[in-house]
Amino acid sequence: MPRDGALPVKRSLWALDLLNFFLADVQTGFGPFVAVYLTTHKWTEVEIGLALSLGTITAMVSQIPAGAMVDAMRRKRVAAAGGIVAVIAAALMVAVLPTRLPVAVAEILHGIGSCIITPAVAAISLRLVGHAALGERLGRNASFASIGNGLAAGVMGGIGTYLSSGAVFWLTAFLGLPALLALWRIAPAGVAGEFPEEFLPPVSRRQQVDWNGLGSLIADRRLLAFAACAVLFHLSNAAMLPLAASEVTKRAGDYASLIIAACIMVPQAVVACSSPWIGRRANLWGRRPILLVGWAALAVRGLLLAVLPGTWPLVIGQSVSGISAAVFGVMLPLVAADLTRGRGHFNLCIGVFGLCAAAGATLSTTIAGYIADNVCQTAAFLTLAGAGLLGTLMIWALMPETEPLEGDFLAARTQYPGGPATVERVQSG
Amino acid sequence: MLAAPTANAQPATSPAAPAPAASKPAPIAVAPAHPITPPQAAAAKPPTPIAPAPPQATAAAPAPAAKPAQHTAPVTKVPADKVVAILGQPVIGPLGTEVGRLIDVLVGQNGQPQAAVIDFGGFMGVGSRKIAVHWNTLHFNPGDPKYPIVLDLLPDQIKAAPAYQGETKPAPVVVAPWEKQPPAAEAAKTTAPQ
Repeated sequence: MPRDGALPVKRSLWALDLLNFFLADVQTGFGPFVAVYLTTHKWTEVEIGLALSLGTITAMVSQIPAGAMVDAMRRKRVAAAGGIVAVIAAALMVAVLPTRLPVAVAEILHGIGSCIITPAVAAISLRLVGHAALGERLGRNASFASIGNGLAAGVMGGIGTYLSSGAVFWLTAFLGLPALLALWRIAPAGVAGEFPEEFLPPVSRRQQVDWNGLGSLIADRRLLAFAACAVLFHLSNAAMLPLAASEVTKRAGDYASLIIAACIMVPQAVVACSSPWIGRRANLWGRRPILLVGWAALAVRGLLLAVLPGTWPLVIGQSVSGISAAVFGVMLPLVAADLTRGRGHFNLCIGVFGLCAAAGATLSTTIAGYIADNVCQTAAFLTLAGAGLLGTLMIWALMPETEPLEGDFLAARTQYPGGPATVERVQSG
Repeated sequence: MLAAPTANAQPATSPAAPAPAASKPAPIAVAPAHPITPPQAAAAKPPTPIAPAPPQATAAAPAPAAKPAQHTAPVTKVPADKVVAILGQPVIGPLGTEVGRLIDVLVGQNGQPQAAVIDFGGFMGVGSRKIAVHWNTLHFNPGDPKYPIVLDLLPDQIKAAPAYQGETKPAPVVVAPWEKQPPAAEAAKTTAPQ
């Protein structure tokens, strides 16, 4: 690499890969598995439902404040470390004391922690590579995250089944340590080789939470359009896997668990392979075509799951979800970066989208569950596919291209180690 | 909820002393062997000793007559190897493999358990289903930690059963294929209580 600072940057980028890998590991143990674990500790359905809802509500409530907080913190690494420590603490509490109060506290800690981690990692990525190379970088992030997710799901599933369900949370807590270590290896802000600060949003210099930013963000029509599309994405996406999986349990015999494992891991492999490509294409083709593909894939998947007979074809239908998951994972922070370019509030914007995604996911399981119970599975899948189709249409009709125009570029940066030969615009702030 | 099937029959046993609670495997365990929800767990115990027999014997059997006119209720000790705590325990199928976990018991007005709700299948908590099986498809083995609860139905016989959707909906109870008579009457009762 031609630049003097290339070495620390290269090391930092590697560390960022590992950070994404381990963070995904740490997140895998939480989620639906908590219910399995608590069941083995004599928790009743109602109690488990309450604890999980507490986690969901915390995650929704803290999205926007967490984004604003990360915006206000100059040292994003510290923010990320705080989030990781919170998740480790949550895993330990669940593992050691599976009783009401500790689990409730753990759910809250995990909700807040993950709301901080997502924007903090995006902010660290932006700081390391700058806007021009961000697409490719986010693709790499998503790729490593899904490798971590897929592996962790396999390993933890095995441990949960054959060893003990509590061991899953010990492993979760343990995997937080390499995540912290990887974070530590990323060069701190201001070290030579980091992306020059004058190219970054003015945000990184602000020291306190700026709530006015929220108003100015929401006034942006593009943001509202994407937020609505994010709701529809998860409205369509979130319930598909659980519905398909319970269908597998119903139809398949001894191998049902294996097929469901495949339904979880195959899409992760698709994400791992396609994310870097998507990140690059988003820079070459612009954001709109990629977004259209991702949302349209949801509709296709819903349709496939509705009509495909048999169990193994379900895995094929499910693997289409890898495409949409990769698009969403890369494009959410990328669109947020586009929209906040030159005016700050990058993390706040991610928080807004995160809240929309969480709201869509919550609605999705409720609505799809209701339809599946009262009408039929096929109708539920078709409804979910309809939400995906609506999202596709909304992107087509309402979502403008957010990639900056060629004419806007003032500075060309062709040799930057983190990304392709692309150009970067000087920030106005 | 672990229901309290015989609570009405035995006020004596259920509020048993929490203080001397020996840990689960102890030879002379007292009724409340559970740290989590003592009253319910304690109440759940009494039916199990009788459970090996089909559920008609339950009514008054195990409790020695409670002595009236006492301020503190008397305490009966139930040996640990005579009862089994069932909530959250693995349910073993006829082939010796784990079918799922028992997560709830549906009890009729007379205190008789009618059905057990079993959560089975899935991977990492995704895709599991809940079904209700008739109480007499289950056998209990107190003192056998490996096979505490045995279900007479094969996995293939329960996998496609309609899902149990919670206490507010009528519960579809899977009955053993070899007995066709009891379900109609009992299933009707099963839906109401809870």
